[in-house]
Amino acid sequence: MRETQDVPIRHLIPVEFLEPNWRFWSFVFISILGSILIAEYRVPVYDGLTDPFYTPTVLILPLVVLFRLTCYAYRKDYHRHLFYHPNSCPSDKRIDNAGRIYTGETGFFRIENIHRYFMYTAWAILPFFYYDIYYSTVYSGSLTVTLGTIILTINAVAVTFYTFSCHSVRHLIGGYRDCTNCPVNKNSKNLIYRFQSKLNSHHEAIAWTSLIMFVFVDLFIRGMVAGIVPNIILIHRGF
Amino acid sequence: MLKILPSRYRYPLFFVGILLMEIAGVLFKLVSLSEEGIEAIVIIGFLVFAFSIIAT
Repeated sequence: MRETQDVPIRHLIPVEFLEPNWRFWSFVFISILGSILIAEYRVPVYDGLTDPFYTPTVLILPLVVLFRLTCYAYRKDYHRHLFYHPNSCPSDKRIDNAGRIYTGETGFFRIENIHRYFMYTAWAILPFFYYDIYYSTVYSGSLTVTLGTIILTINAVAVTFYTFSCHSVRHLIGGYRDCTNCPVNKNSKNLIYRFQSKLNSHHEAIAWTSLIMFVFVDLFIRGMVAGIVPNIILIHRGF
Repeated sequence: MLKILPSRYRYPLFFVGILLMEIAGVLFKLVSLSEEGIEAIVIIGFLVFAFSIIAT
């Protein structure tokens, strides 16, 4: 029979948000301060290049933030590095607090299961990135491809790869099946599933790449506005 | 792999680096500090942040 003291006490607010964990609260502080500064120092559309933080899509940014916060790649990172719990896959005990049991995706953290629905909002935002690329090529009235266009394209491709290498997409396109190697399932759909599985194995790297690209594009456009970075024109042709 | 700094030192440096860069932005808005002074704080913050990532 299980002893009473083994059963963790469940609170409405998870213990991760209540304990004096300097890593988590430092992250919260710099995130709030960073958001205020982003709102304070706005960047105009410069040379047809739209800063990804100041597009109209910023209105659905909370949904995109929730897509990233509930992502399988990021949740591993913040559980390990911000909540410091669990330290690694085989250990469910904290070094500094052995009595604290890892409860995983239970209680409040069931919200992480809503990732499959936020995935659709992430799909909805993708065309806007490609529209920004299109706008940067035609804004001057003639076809113009600049260094900024190339960087915007890399950013859009990174976000697309991130969105479509998602674990929820993997489930949607074939992961729900009990057997993927059975003869009945050896079809073109399985090929797509296998390709996506390969992408999915690099999901964490793609996730961080796309996030770093966001910051890089923002810094690049800020640098251009400040006159530090030149926007090299690669192709300029009239219609 | 060469371990320059253990994580208990790297994590505070990571947050301090970002915080320094953000404080520079706040100071630029609120205090009449010279642009060179603001740039110096940002550069120091970035170096601390970069070191916290590189020094694994």
